[in-house]
Amino acid sequence: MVSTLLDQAAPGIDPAAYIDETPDDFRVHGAVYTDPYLFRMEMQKVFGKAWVFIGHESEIPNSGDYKTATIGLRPVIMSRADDGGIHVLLNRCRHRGSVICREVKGNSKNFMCTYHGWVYGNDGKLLGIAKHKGGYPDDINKDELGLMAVPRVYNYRGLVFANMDAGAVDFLDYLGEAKPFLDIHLDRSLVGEIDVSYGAHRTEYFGNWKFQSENSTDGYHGDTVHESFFKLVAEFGNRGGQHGAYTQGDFKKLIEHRTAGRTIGFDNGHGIWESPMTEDAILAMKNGPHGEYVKALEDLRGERKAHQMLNSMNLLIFPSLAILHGQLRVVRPIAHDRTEVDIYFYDLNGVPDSYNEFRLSGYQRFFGPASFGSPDDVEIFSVNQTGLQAEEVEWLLLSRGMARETMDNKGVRTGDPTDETPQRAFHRAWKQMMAA
Amino acid sequence: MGEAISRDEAEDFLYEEARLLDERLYDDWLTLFTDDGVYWLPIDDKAAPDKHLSLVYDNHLRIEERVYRLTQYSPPAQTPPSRTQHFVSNVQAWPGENGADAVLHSAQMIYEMRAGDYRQFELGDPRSFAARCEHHLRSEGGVWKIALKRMVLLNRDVPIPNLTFII
Repeated sequence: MVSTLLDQAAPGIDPAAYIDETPDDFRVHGAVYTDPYLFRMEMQKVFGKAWVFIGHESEIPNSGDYKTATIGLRPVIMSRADDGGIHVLLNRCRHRGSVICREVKGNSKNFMCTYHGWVYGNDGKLLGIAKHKGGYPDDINKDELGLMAVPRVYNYRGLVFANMDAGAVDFLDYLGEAKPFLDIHLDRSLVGEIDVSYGAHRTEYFGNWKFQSENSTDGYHGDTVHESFFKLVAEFGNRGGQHGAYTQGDFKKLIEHRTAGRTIGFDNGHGIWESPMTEDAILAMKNGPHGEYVKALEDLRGERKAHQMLNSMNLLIFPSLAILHGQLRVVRPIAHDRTEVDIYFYDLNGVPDSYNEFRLSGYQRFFGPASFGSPDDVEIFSVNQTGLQAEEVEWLLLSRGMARETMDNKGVRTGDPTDETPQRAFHRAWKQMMAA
Repeated sequence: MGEAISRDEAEDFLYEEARLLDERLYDDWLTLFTDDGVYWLPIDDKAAPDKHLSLVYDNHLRIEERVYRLTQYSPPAQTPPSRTQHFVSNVQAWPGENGADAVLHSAQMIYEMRAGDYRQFELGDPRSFAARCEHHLRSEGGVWKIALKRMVLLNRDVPIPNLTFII
């Protein structure tokens, strides 16, 4: 491989120095969010080495179905070939580098480069070179000129992850102790499957991608950023679809309840924020229109486990997938100060239709660019990015809850629900990958 | 078949709605809707609202919540608040369908901007939204009311930052 600028250590750049951890303090340097050079490094050292979520297999149910996605900045296609197999291919013609697919999803047997007309199958094989004869040897080896396949692909219960690093650890080792929490999200379905078929809410903000990843498990911001939503719930209740565990009407109770729960930080940067259902809320749900679902879940998983599964539980899979409130949230870095967020609502398969409809209504109340919740988060990311232009204040403080955080023998750290335990786990992994 | 609405009446109705929105008289805007009125901004303009996510799919209760949030609180995404200027054109008044007495078609151009410290990200940048609109109207005691407002934005299926104002 030809060496590029990024293969050489930039003078004065030591990524490890940007995360400063001592036993009782944790600081992240502002440049981690504002430096274009560090961003370019991230595209190679983080997104080029980590397991990145591409899509769910239910988005491409039939042969020929495809969707496009990105791994960092790299454009990729996830396609289902004629034999039913799923391929993750770089969306780049081997001739002169053009993308060969310009739709966000669709169905096609072939992809033709619009520049000079080279044609590839939906499994990536090069099928034809335009005006081949005389221009190239008759026996040119087309097998070597197919679309580059992303070296590692892992389909975990329908969630397709890919890794640009052929030597990366296996996906399950990467997921580590976070696996049971991913399973909880999928096992809320009574048949253990989800269906991603509602399209996406897409938004963009002027801010670094890590703000959205960090915030997906942040339990500290809710009372301020989402005050208008909690007041709204106190005023109107959940007649039109609930969001998460906030089933109580009384504002004071809502806020008190938010101090229950926990945060968790795992190796490799994954994290959890969890807020339990109260006994009252579970009882209300059992006696309400969705009692049938709760009872079926209890029968299937056992009462104690089923009730835990009803908790609000946000999971971040490092670096850029969050699973929370019945959605897959994909963070797409565009530039050091520009990010896209795509949110895919999913159905729980095998549950009453009325429950999925209720979930969808509740989801749309809080999520999407015109909703009553997530736009307020996105606004804060831009507020953050603006403030960080004051570069002389070098450090951001992510030490909240360090003194009360506990760690088990597997290195899993648990904190209070408003603690920055998952964010610290995120930045430890970031530091490790960037310094490698 | 319900009673007809003239182009003049149709335009008056749409201009008045635009004025209420531009002056942020959201409580008054709410009274334009029937009690079962729906406010809908699809993402996939061919799909039903229970089969595909929408930017907005508000029943009357949800519209009330939307107005409540914007009039009683200052959520971060509306601090400072959006200013809008609506332009309404290409108005056609058609006979009603699906229980409506009349359907108004229009093209709308909406300019939106948040002022405040305009040097900051997200502030000070005028944005424009083009939309095809349908207003399905019912006559209630001689007053035209909105049973369904459906707006199909040109940029409905690409990333949209902050659509928390009422468009």
